[in-house]
Amino acid sequence: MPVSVKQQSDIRKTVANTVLALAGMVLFTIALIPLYDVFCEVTGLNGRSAGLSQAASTSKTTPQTTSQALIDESIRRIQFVTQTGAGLPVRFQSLESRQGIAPGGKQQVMFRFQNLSDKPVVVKAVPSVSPAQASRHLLKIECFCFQALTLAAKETQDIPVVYFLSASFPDEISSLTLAYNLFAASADDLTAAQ
Amino acid sequence: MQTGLDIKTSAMQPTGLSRWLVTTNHKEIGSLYLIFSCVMLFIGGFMALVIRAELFQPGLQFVEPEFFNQMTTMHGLIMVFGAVMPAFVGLANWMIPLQIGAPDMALPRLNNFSFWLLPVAFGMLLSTLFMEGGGPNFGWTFYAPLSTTYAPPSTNFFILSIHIAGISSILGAINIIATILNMRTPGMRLMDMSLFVWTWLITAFLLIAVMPVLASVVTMMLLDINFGTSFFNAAGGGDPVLFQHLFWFFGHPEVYIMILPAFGIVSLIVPTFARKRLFGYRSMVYATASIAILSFVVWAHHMFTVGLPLPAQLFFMYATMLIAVPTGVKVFNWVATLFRGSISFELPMLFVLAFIVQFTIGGLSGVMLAIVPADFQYHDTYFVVAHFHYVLVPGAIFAIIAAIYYWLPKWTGYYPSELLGKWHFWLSVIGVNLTFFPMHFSGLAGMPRRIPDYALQFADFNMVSSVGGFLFGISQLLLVVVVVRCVRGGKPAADKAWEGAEGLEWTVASPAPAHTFSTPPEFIPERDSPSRP
Repeated sequence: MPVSVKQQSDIRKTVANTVLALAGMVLFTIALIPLYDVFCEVTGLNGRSAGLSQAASTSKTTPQTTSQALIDESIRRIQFVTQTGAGLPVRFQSLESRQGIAPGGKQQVMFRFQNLSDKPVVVKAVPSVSPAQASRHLLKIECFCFQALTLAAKETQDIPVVYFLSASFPDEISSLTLAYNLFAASADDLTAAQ
Repeated sequence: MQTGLDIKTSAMQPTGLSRWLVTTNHKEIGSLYLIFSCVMLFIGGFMALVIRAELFQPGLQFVEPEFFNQMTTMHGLIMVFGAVMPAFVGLANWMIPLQIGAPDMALPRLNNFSFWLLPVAFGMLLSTLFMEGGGPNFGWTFYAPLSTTYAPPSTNFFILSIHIAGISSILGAINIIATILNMRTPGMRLMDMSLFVWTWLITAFLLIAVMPVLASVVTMMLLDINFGTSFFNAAGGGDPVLFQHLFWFFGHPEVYIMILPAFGIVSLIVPTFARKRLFGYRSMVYATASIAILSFVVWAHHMFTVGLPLPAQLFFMYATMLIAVPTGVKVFNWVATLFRGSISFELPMLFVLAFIVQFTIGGLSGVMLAIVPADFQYHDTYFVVAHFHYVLVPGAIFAIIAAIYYWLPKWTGYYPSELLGKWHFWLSVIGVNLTFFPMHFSGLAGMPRRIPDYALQFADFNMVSSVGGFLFGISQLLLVVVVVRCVRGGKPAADKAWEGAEGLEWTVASPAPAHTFSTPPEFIPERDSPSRP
């Protein structure tokens, strides 16, 4: 099976190029991880809005949510959903299940954290907004999700979330959901192993 | 080494088992691939029959739900990575050197290595079924966190076997690219190559592009499971949806990896038995390339229900529908080739005609699934199961069977038995449609996939599917009978076994001797080549 020297070096070149392409694809996939996060934060896709929370804390006109305004079509319904990660000995709920808010308006909602165990736990809440188009327009001024939260043994804490709906809120969205997932900030706080 | 490689092929000829273990002959390695994928077809098929037996009636009959989950998962993994892909690689090994006039693959030893990785990978994958906690049970798509946080302990072995199978595919793809680009006989331009070679070249590029993505994803799973990272774990700042994006960025091109070589096979067999030049050779090449490129921008149509924003849903919907255009070009080209041809219905042609009709059915349900609002209804139902089985079973697998019947005279020197082959064909066609056509209806009515039990109203459709499944499964034993009998003897085949066949492979003796084209053959542009006046 004679293979000429020319052909051999050509084959070697092709193999080198394909291996280079392979390495490029591996690097591309690794780069996708941070790029995905950046993309989600910038566009608000996937309900991520944490990075935008500090923006636009200067409110414009805040319409009063009077009974007259509640039948106003501009009022959006916002629901609060809470979920506690498996094995976490914490009861976590919102004290109001839903509120009405007009674009440009500011509201406050209370959340209750109850540590059911005899040990202090450190928890972190991860927010998510749906539909995703709404996430850029829901701005949290004050939120326990900005940092980890320490709950002493058997402690109950009520913590507010203060949020804005931007004045440029899309017309086609009539209701939105703000969901919080509560996770243990360190693995030691899980009681699943008990 | 001044004169290049000069391997003494005839002097060293190990016999017995070691002959197959150390062989670097592309024909022997091709046969090994095909035998391996046949074994995997029957193992994966047995798992499918376990599933169909359980679903014969509502309620739990034969297996526990946990084991049912392992069966659906392993059936998918084995059929995709163990049966369909190796079968196409086997055909590529056998036929690409013969079709381009090369003495062997460009990297024969690598070729041997990439084959022998496969039994290791799938031996390990199958062994997980006997481990504590069972084998993988999270579906062949192994979505996190099912495959990380909630996975059985055997998942590390699953990840390793995917790695090994992936390396095998990558090495095979490198070899095929190096062979096609460098070892064509003098005078054969890219646009003179047979469409089987063309589709495999494009498939090999797809493999090079997406196999590293799969390897990266399973590596991230490995890190999440064992080293406390949080790529796909929301508690640690990761995102399970990211897993789906990465998986389908691999997974959608993977779908085309399993069908493009089938398009090539059909594009050879239709002109042969219609005794006409292939209609639109160039458009076939461009359509294949377009499908390959489009396959990178449609991945999110598998995940419309994860909560994509509207613009993304629209983009992926339209991009997905766009794929129907080059695919339609291919189907119309085949039909135009058949038009006013002198058609005869030998075994390969029967399977190819069935391919064209049934693949189009699968393609049509694919367009239905591409419509976002409809997909919300169809998602994760048996409609999806019907769709991808129509493109994979009467699609990819029928094309592989057609290729086997088409080239068996070249491989063995004898024609396969027409009578038994026709039995195989008709039982397969009836079985496959009995199995998968009712799934459209049970899916539209709302039957969810991957569940061992179902509501009473789906009972009739499932009973029909199960009967068809057993008919199809058992009739595949006929394929083995036909092939074994053909190896042993039968009607001797001429060098050019089919009257209307074109291509360099028909210029060598039947059966093909161990070493062919030691000196590059003279190339005359074939009937299907655009350069032929």
